[in-house]
Amino acid sequence: MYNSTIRSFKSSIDKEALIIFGGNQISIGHYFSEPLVDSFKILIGTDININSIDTEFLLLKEEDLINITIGDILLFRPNGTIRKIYNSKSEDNVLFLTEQCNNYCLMCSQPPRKTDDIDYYFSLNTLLIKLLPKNIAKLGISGGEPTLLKKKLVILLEQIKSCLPETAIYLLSNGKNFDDISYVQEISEIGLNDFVIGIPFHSDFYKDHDLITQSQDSYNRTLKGLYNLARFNLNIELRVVINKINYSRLYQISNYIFHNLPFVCHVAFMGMEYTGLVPKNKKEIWIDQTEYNTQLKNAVLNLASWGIYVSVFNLPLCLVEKTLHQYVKKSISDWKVEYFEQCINCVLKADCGGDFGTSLKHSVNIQPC
Amino acid sequence: MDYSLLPFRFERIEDSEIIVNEVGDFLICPTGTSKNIVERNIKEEDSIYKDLIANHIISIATIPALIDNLAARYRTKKAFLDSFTVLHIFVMTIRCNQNCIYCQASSRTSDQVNYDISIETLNYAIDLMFQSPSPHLTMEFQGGEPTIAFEKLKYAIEKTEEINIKKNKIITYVLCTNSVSFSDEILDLCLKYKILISTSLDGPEFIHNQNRGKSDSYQKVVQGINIARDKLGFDKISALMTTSNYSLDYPKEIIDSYIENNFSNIFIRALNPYGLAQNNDNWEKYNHSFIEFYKTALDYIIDINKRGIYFEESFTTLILKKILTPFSTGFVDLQSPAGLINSVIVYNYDGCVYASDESRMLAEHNDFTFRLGTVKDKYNDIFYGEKSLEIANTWANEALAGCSDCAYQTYCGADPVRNYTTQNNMNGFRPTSLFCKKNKAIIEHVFLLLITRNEEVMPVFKNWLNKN
Repeated sequence: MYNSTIRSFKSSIDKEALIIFGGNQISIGHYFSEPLVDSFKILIGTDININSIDTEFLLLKEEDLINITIGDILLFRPNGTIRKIYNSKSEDNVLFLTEQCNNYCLMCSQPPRKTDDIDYYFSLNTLLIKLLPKNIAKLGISGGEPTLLKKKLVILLEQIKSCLPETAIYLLSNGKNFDDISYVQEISEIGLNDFVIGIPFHSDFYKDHDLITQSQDSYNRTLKGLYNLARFNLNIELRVVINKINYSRLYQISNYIFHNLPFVCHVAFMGMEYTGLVPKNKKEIWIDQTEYNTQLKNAVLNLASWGIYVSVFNLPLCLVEKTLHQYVKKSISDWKVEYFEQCINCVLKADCGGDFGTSLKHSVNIQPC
Repeated sequence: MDYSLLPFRFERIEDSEIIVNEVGDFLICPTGTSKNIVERNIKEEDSIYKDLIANHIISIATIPALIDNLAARYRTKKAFLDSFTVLHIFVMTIRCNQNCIYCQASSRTSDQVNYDISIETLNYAIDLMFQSPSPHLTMEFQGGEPTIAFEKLKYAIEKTEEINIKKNKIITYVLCTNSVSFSDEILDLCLKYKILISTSLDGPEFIHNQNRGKSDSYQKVVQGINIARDKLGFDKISALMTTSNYSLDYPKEIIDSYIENNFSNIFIRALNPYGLAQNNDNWEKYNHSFIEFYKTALDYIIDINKRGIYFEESFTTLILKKILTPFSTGFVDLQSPAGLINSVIVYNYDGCVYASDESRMLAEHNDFTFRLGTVKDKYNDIFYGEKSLEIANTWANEALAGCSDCAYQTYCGADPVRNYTTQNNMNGFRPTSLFCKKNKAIIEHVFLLLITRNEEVMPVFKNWLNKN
C-alpha cells in the first residue's frame, strides 16, 4: 500500500527511482523521470567499498529491509526516504493519483491538499504500471480525486488496459467530473474488461449531500455523472458512508437508489473511520455505529429484497444486528485492520472484518459475539 | 416558502393521500398535503420537505437541475415503446371445437373450412411482420382453435424461419390453444420450434365445463396440459382464466384448481364486452361483482403464499411492477400509449389487418372501425395510415379527460377500442366507464394493501416481482 513504509538510506542518486525488490543483494532499478533507460545496483551492508563500484548505487542497511519482501516495488527519493508503493503480499494495492480533491467531505479520512502534484504522480504511475506483475488480481485507483487528472487519467487507464489486461480495476471517484458526458465516453471507449467505479452517494436530499461534501452543487453533478456512466454501461458501486447527517434517511436513500439508480451493480453502506477530518468535525458528523442499527437494517434489507447486491463495509460484526451479518464484508484494507483485546474471546473473529486500526477512537460497544 | 411544482397527481385513500410523481413514484401522506404543497405551505424544516424534493414532486429551480435524469426515468417507464410492434397475432382460423359461453372471438364450428387463413394472406402478413423495427418478434397464433388449421400453422412457422435466416430477429412463437386435442404432429412442431403454449383453464371441472358448453372439456384440457408439459417442458405451458358470471361465486375453488394442476400463477381476467361475451345482461353488476371476486381471490392467494407456497396473481404483479418499480411492463392491455399498433397488430384469417385482438372481434359484428387495411397494403399505410392517426388521438391517457389528472395515470392505460365498444366513441367518458372503474378499484385495492398490511403483503409481493 502506498506510503506504508518509509525508511532512510544513503545514496548517490539525484533523481527519484523505482526498484522492484529482488532479494538480499542486487536488483534492477529505474529512474522514473527517464523510464526504463537506466539501471543501478543496490548494495546492502555498511562495509562495502564504494570506490570499487562503477555504476550508480544505493547503500542500504540490513534494518532498512524490515517489512520489505521480494516483489515489492520501492520508491527511492534523493532526500533519503523509501516508500513501498506496491506490496506484493497485499490484495489492496492502489495507484495514488493526486492529493487534490474537488470535494472536502466532513469525514474524509485522507484530507486533500492543494498541491501541484498531478504531473509528478502521473509519471510515477506511468512507470509503476509497467513494473507491476502481469498476474496482479486487482488494483485500485484513488486519490484525492483521480478525475482531476482529466485526460491523463484516460492515458493511465489505457496503459493499464495494455499492461494489465486481466487485472480487475477499481476507481474511486466522487463522480462530479463525470457530468461531462464526453469524458465518460472517452473512459468507456478504453474498454477495460473488469472495471468498477466506486462513487460515494451521501444522501437522497441534495442539501445533506452538499453539506457532507462541503461543495455546492456536488449532488447534482454526481447524479448527472452517475446517469452518464450508466448510459455507457460502466459498472458503478455506490458507497454510502453513514454519518450523523445522513443516518436518519438511510431507508429513504435506499428507496432513492432503487428508483433512480437501479443500474448500479453494488451498494455499500460503510462505517466511518475516526481519522482525517473526522476528529475535527466530530460534532457534526460522528455517530456511534450502534446508533443507526435500525436505519441500516431497513435500508440494507430493502435493497436486498429488490435484488440489488448490497453490502455493509467497515463495521465489526458486534456492532451490527445479526440479520445483517450475511451482508457484512471484510472490507478494511489489510494494512489498516485491527482487532482488540475483547476480540480474543469472540467466536466470530474469523468472520469479522475488524475495525480501522487507523481510527483514533473506537466504539465502546465493541464486544465478543 | 418559494418552490416550484413538478407534475404530480394525488388521490385520497381512506385517511391518507397518495401523491404520485410523473414517473410513478409515490408518497403516502396525511390528507391535505397536496393542498399544502400547492399553497406553498411546506416549510424547509417540515419532515416531508426532503421527501418532496428527493421524489421529484417539488423543485427549488423552475427547471430542476436533474431534469435530464428525470427524463431518463420517463423513458425507462415508456421503454415498451422502444421497439414498436413486437406482438404479431395471426388469426389462423375462426373454426373451433369448443362452444364457450363467453366466446370473445365469435367462433364457427369446426367443419366450416372457409374460415381458415390462406397461404397468400400468410405470406403477405409474414412479410409485414418482418418490416417491424423490433429486434424481437412474438408471433402468436390464435383462433378459433389454431391447431385445427395445422397445415397452415406449420407453413407459417417454416416460412418465418426461412425468412429469418436473413433477417436474424429473435422470434418467440406462442400458440393459443384450448389444448383439448394435441396430436403428435402438433407437439412435434411445438418441440421443434420451442413454441410456448397458452391455454385456457377456468377453474375446477364444474366451472370449466359449464363455461365451455361441453361435458368433457376439463378432463381433456388437463390431459392436454400434462401431455404438453411432459413433451415440451413444464415451463412451456401457461394458462389463462376468464371469470364468467358463473365463476364469480367460486374464487377459492378456481385458485385451488390451479394449484392442484401445478400452476404457480393465475391471471384473474374479467370478461370482455366483445363477441358473444357482449350479451352479458348487466355489465355494471358484473363489473362490481368482479372487483369483489378479485379482492377475495387476492386475499386468498396472499394467505397461500404466507403458508410458504409460491403462487402468484399475475395481474397484481403487473400493477405492482408499475407502482413499486422504476421499470416498464410489457403488458399490452394496460399501457399508454395503448398497446394497439404500438405493441400489437392482428392479421385476420380473411386478410384484414386490425389494431388489436379486440378490434377484429368487433369486425365479426360488422364493425370495421379498427380495420387498418389488408395484408396487401404497404407497411406505412397500415402502421402510419389515416386510421392509425385517428386512433392515435385517443390512445394516450396523458391526454384523455378524466385520465390526465388521475393519480393512477402512470399505472393505468388507454383503450380506445373498449371506449368505442362500450361508450360509442374512442375518447370514452370516465365517470361511467367500467374499464376505469375496474382498474381504479384494483389499483386502489393494491395501494390499500400496501398501506394497511404492508409488512404482511410486501414480502409476498416482492417475491412475485423478483420472479418476473
